[in-house]
Amino acid sequence: MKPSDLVHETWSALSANRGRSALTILGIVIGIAAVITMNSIIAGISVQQSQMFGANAARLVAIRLSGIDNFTVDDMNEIAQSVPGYDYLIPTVQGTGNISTNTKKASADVTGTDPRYLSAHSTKLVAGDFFDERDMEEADRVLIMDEPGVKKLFGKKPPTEVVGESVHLGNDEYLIKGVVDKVNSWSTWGDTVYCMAPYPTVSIRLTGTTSIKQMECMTSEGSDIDTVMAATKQYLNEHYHLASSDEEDGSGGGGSPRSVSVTSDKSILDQVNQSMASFQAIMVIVSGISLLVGGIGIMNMMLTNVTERIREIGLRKALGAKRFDITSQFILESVCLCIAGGIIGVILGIGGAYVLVGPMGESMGMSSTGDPLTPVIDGASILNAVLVCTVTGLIFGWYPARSAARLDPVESLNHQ
Amino acid sequence: MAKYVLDAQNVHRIYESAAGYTAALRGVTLQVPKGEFLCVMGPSGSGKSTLMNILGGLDRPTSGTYKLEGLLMNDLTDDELAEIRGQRLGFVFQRYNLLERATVMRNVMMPLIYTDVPKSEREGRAYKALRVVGLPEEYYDHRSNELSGGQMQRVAIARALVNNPALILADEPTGALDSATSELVMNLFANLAEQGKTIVIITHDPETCAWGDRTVHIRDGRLFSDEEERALVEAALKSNAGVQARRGNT
Ligand SMILES: Nc1ncnc2c1ncn2[C@@H]1O[C@H](COP(=O)(O)OP(=O)(O)O)[C@@H](O)[C@H]1O
Ligand SMILES: [Mg+2]
Repeated sequence: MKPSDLVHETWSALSANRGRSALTILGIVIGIAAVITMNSIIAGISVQQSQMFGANAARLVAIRLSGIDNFTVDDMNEIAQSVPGYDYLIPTVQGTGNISTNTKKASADVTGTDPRYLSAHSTKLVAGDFFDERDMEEADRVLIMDEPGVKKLFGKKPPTEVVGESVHLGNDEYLIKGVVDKVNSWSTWGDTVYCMAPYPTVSIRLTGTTSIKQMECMTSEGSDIDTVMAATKQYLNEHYHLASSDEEDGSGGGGSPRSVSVTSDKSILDQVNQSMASFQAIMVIVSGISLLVGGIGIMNMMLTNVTERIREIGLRKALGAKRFDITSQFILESVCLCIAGGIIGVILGIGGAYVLVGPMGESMGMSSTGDPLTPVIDGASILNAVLVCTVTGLIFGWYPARSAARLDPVESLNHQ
Repeated sequence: MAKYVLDAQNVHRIYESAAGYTAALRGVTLQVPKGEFLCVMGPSGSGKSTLMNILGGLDRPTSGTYKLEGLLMNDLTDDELAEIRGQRLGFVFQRYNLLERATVMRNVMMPLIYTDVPKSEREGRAYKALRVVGLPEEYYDHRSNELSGGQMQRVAIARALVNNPALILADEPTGALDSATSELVMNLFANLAEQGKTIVIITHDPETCAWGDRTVHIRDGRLFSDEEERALVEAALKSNAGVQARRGNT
């Protein structure tokens, strides 16, 4: 039997039974739709998450010092050399002041940091340049603004034209050297303008202290962040004679007790990833069950089909159909049903993803962060779904097809 | 080339069922030369369908040998028999057995999808077969359940012709038709026989047998020639006459 004949016979048999075929594939449709919807939403969430935290967020360790004076860049570099597992450490400091142009005035929140900040975060440069090592060495009064900040301070002026402008910040004049997309995920809100500047500039001119209080540390790829964090704590305890071992210690009487905190977002990220993974696992189980139920439905329909078409089977055998011809005809019917169910499921699933992404994002607390959550449709998972349907069709079509092929031609022809 | 299209020697067919054994054929010997139009006639339950199933390669003899065009059919596998059926045999059934959802053309072409006849040739062959049975062309793309009984049987005969078989087997082909339509269908078989087709028709109807070249009778799984049958009937009538005469005396 030629493949084209097989397809023709299959089509003719299935279309003769349209209503029943449609009902039978419902289970498959639901199972596939559920997987596609959930996969698309979860993929959307992880894309948004990596945008929010940066792709390297899981590798970042934050160190906060309190009660330690005169912690210098050399001391910081000493950590990088003594504790194995770090690519680099960068100092950060938060300064505040009033920022103003000739026409506008706002309060500013300035992060003092290092040029490597860009590679540690997902922040992207949209105009001009980021500050460089020379700006660091000379504590240049250069400022990096972000797009929301530009809007707040310059109105409709595009970022490219803002670069090179000068603004007043604190007691000094600053040159705007570059514009990034976002300094942080909340910078669109409120009136505060969020900026970045070289660490020395901020610490000298805005905070008045040069001792490093905060550091962001990039662990090297593949190193175990928990081990690195433990080693860091131990190193700091030994070198700075800390009383309590790790957590910030607010209980120690007067003055400022020496303490250090070493934290990372990894545990938060892990938790989110884990809850998404278990959510996904539940969906896989749910859709697995509906595929199973759907598959059994298909098998049941195919068995009914075989019974109803016993005379047809006998006739085909009398006219020369071999076992394989009969088997392949019925298996193909079941596979086609399942694939049709799968394709409808994929379409409904994509639709479902767009409908459910809003409520889902809200319930997971994702929508409060700005960008709307959009589902990500993944070609591989669609292909997978179709493949799974094919296999389902093969598995559940096999038994009815085999029983059809085994029928005796004489008995089948005489069947009432 | 074998001398006979079909050659059955001492064929027995014993059915085994919960009720015990039924000997449906008890030593059937039958030879049909090429081009013969043979009728097998017998009452219900005499073993006609059993015989046709064996001649058609749908069933195997319990003992004895059956050769189709010299090929010994006894030991062939199911798939080998299926291939022979598709290539060398044409079946016509009492109840037409057309596929309702398919068009006339698709029905006629059905045996060809199980052979290696190329697609390009199939329609041509089906047209030819349908022209032979005289079905008007306007019906070719009708679904088969839109036809009358006589038309359906003509489609079924076209289907039996389409693979140009060595032997056409028909089991009660007029059993479901009225007498006028029956005559048309039998006329068609007679024409096919004139064109050199080998045909075996199974029936319980003596009128049908009038169309054939030769009639054999089947009773209780045994075959009798026309002469044997006549002798048997005459002997029975004679003894019956004796009984009547004695009754009349008392
Ligand atoms: N599958 C079967 N199992 C048991 N007995 C059968 C079977 N088919 C036919 N028979 C018996 O064999 C005998 C001949 O049947 P069949 O060939 O159908 O006769 P016909 O076609 O002449 O009416 C009958 O007695 C019938 O009951
Ligand atoms: Mg019969």
